[in-house]
Formats: sequence, structure tokens, C-alpha cells
Amino acid sequence: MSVSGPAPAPLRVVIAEDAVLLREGLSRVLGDAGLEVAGAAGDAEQLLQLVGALRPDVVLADIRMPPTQTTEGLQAARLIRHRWPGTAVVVLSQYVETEQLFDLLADDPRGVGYVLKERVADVAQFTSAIRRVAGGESVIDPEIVARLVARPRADSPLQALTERERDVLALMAEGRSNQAIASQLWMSPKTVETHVGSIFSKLGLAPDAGDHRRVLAVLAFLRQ
Amino acid sequence: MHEPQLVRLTAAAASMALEHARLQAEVQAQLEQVRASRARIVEAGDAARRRIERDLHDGAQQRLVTLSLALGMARGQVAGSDPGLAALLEGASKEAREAIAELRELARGIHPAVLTETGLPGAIQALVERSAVATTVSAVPAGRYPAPIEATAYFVVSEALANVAKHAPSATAHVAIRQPAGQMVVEITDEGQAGRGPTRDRGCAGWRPGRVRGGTLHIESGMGGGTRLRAEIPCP
Repeated sequence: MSVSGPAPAPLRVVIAEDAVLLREGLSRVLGDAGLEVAGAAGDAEQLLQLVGALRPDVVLADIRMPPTQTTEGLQAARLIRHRWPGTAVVVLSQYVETEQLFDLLADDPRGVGYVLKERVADVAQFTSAIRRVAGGESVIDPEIVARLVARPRADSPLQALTERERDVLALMAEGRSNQAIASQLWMSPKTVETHVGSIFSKLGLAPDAGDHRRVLAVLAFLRQ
Repeated sequence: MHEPQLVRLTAAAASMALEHARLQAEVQAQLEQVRASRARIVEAGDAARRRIERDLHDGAQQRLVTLSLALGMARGQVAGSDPGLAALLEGASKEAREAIAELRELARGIHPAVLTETGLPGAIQALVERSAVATTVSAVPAGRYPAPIEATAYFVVSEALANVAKHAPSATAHVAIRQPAGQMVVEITDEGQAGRGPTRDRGCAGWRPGRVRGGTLHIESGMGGGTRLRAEIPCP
């Protein structure tokens, strides 16, 4: 598909990461990948100032930052979404735990990403995650989802899912749209829809109400 | 009996009683000191574990992520021009990824950051998500408690689930943590493995019934082969 007219403006990103080398490395790879790094902060306070001044499309924030090295980045992310709605946020986590993830998504999963920090090493995949989040999608790290899907359960309706339905379920939990699921699993969109319908009825979830709500519904189910 | 003898005997008895009381008080005082120093040792151990976890995160893990990113950038630069070098860098990236994953597990085993940051509900949820046996949770107190109490409750659940996984891998474990007045009560039950009687070794090698952090630990094996582990931790 070719669209004439001026090239779209590059996505504007603000980075928050306290480790200098990593911050500089990130700025460089994102710049090379065609994103505009509008600013880079070393802590949450500076991040909030930069976001207020620069109004970026996307914020990329490490969860643990000074001064307490606990959840500063996460708190800043929630504040940014509250104060400047429409700003997409990707948080970088060192943990595969879901408590923080769920807190962040529960406000509104649109334009939120939660990815493991080491994902930065795969530049193509990482920038594609940033673009998806900037486009309003949710991005949940596949490893976190895989762990939730695979954990042993007693008497769960999950056991009634076919292997294919489990694949579709995992991709829904990662925040993928039907179209993306179709291309990733080499299925027709119609087949994906059939699987999604079947999954929701087997799990006893309310019929799929758009990609955003279903991420929450599916993740909440998997965490039970 | 002559009076002087009576006095002597009475005096001897009295001094024995006094001596006994004195010794008892001394033993009691020593016991208190031992208890207090044991609590201090345990608390110092907890603090050290939290510090090590933080050092691992802010030091080695952070450096490995930076290294991974540099390797990723290098791969991007040689892509297509030198397949041999590209393969080498790919291998190095994979090693770095695995080192990060291993370090993450190590750090959480030493002290889970999620416990420090979100308290018991998030930490128990994390244990359940990674448990090798099907696990249900019926109660976890939502509030925050002194760090040593939270850590004890957490590690009791963690060890108990590992034990169920080892000795009854197809069982379902049930976790309940309640907080009646003055106590935190942690209970982990499983209905056991079909076909295994109560006389079989139920594991629990490191789990002698006894004391946990000034509290008590009971283990019961039921007739059906299941196990109930109950820890009562004093909680002001």
C-alpha cells in the first residue's frame, strides 16, 4: 500500500533510565530505528518534568530508579497517564511477577506496555513493541504470559482448551489484535474469530469487547 | 529437735530456696538474651538478603542488560557483512540472556523484591504463579507487617509448596494466611497423592515440627496421605 503525501513524523520518545550507559545505548538504538528521542531522564522527577515540557508520544521508563530503587518508574508511569492522557507508556521490568503489571493495566490498558528489561537487546522486536504501544495497543511480555498459561491448575476450564486455542489465548494475553494473531499463527482472521469465541465461552468470560478489555479479562482469568 | 538445729536446717533450706530462685532467674535471663540475640541474628540475616538482592539488581543485572544491548547493536552493524561474526555475536547474546534469567531467579530466591515492594498479597500471588503444583489461595492479609514476619510467612509458603511439588506433584495445594489477634497463621494443605498411605515418607526432611521465628510449626499427615502444615508466628 502506498500513500502519497508527506512522510509521517517520527514517534517522539522520552527515556527514563538511571544507568548512564544503558540510557545512552537506548537513545542510540531507538534513534537508529527511526524514532525521535526527544529527551532522556535519570530519575522519575526529571522524567515528569521532561514529559510536561516535551509532551512525547511514548515514554520508556525503567521501573526501579533513584532514589529508592523500588517502583519509582511505575509510579511515574501511572502519574503520566493520569496527567497527560494519551501518552503511551512502556515500562521496563526486571521481574516476571504480575502484581505491578496488573496495577498498571487496571487503570486503562490502552497504550501500556510491560516488558522485561532484557528485551532491549532485540532492537527490531523492541522498537516494534514501542510502536504498537504508541498505536494504542497493550504489550505484555510473552515470557510473563507463557508462565501464566503454563502453570499447573486443578479443575480449570483452561484444561478444556485445545492446543491451538491456548496459543490464541496466550497471544490475546500479550495484547495482540485478531489480525496480528492471524498473521502470527498463519490463520485466516475468520478462524481466529472462531477460536476467540470458543475460548471465551469455554472460560465463561463475557463476549469479547474489543482488544483492550479482553487483555484485562484474559490476564485476570490467568492469574486466578 | 534442739532449737539451734532447727534454725540451722531452716536457714539451710531457705538459702537453698534462695539459691534455686537466683539460679532460675539467671537461667531465665540468659534464655531471654539467647532469644533476643537469635531474633537479632535472624533480622540481620533478612536485612543482608534484601541488600544482596538489591546489589544484584542494581549491579550485575543492570550491567548484563547494558552488555546485551551493546551486543544487539553490534549484531545490527555486522548483519549481512560477516556471517561468522554475526553467529558469534548471536551466541554471546544468548549467553547474556540466559545469565540475566538465571540471575533473576537467584535474586528472587535470596529475597523477592515483590515482597518488599507490595507485601504478602503480591508475593504469594507470585509464588502461586511459579508453583510446580496446582495451588489455590483462600486468604492473604492485605496490610503490611514487620519485614521479618512477612518474610517468615513467605518462606514458609515457598518451602511448603516446594515440598508438595517434590512429594505429591499431582496434588493440589491450598494456601491460607490469616491474622487473628497477636498472630499470623500460615496454613498449607494438600490432599496428597492417590495411593500413598500416611506411613510413607512424606518428605519434610528440613521440616521438623518446632519453632519458626519465635512461633510454632505443626505438620500433620492425614490418613488419605495429605499433609497439613501450620505455622503460627507471633505478630504484634
